[in-house]
Amino acid sequence: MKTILWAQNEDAMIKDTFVINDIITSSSDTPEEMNAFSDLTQASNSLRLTPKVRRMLNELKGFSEQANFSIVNNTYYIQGCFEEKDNVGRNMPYMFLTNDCCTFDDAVLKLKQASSLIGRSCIDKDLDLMSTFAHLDSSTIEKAVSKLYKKKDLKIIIGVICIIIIGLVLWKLVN
Amino acid sequence: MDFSLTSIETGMEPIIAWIWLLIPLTAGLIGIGALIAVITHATEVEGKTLGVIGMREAGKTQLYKTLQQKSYSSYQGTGTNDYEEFTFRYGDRRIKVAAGRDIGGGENYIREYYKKWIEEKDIIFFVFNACRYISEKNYAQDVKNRMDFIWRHMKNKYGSNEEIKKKLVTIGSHLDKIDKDKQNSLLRSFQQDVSGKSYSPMFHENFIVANLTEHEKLMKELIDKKIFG
Repeated sequence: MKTILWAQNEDAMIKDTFVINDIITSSSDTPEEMNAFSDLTQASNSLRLTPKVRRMLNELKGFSEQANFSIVNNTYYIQGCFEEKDNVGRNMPYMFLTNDCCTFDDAVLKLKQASSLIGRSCIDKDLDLMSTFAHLDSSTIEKAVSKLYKKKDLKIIIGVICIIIIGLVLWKLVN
Repeated sequence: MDFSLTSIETGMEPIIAWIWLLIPLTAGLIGIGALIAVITHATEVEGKTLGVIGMREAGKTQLYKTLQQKSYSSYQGTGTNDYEEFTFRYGDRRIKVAAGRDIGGGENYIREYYKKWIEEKDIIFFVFNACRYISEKNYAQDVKNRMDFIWRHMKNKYGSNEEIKKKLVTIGSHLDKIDKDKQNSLLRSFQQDVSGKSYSPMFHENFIVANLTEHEKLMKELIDKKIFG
């Protein structure tokens, strides 16, 4: 295995597409494709971004709900959505795996290259965010994002208090 | 300024009165809180694990969102998407759903997840698009192939239909896209279509045809069929 890209297609009745080492296939039942999908599933079991972190990032930065990544023994796994939509208007999902890279940014580059082979482009905003977290472990990421999230809450609380104070001052002035 | 004992005492009186008033108030609030906690805990069912499997674009993610009473804001196809533990109201009870994974509907997922989930999960929901089932032969055949797969594995694992009934729910979605005059005979036509097949109980027991965005109606169906006990 060097690189595997799995992508959903526009039509629900068309089988999913694989790009395995730059070769495009879409029969879904060759042993090579079955193994590739198994590798992807296995890699998706050690994701770095917990559901809680993704929910917070979604609220803070508009991060895609299912974008995520894992790095295990120099094998990079990235999942997310393409800009392109399927027949019912949903962004089409992808899963990508490579053991042919040295850094997360290299893996992103490979993902983009493989995606371009099937005429798709990944949502860049998600990849950029994942890239900033790539050197951190899961719990450090959660702490960092929670801090950001609390700051947002604090801003809201301060805003509400300010509005109440201004309201009271105005009320005093009027009366 | 008058700092005599009398004036200080007089000045303290309202404060002391407030403190005396706050003590029973706080105690009362703690008591009510504890009572609520005891009641909700008593009616909460511990960590059910759900496995929602089914056809592509059938509404698997929508089903999770409806149970969670969340809007489906980022409309995206699903590769894999892990979710947090959540709790939903079910009649007069609260059902806790353990953290899990939302998966896509492509054929590859059958091999990777179906058998494993049938063996592991407390409740399996199989979701397909009822509108496409009645209008597209190929789609209907795909649904039946998956039903056959699910039923065979359910039988292997749980044996009797009675046991399977406690574990498996079949949902035909997109009811709103089916003509009103066809809706009345829908259940019978589904049942006739699989008549004689080993998996035909899937259209008899715990079979729901619904619009998955309608939370109240879906909940009523799930409660009527005692899906969560």
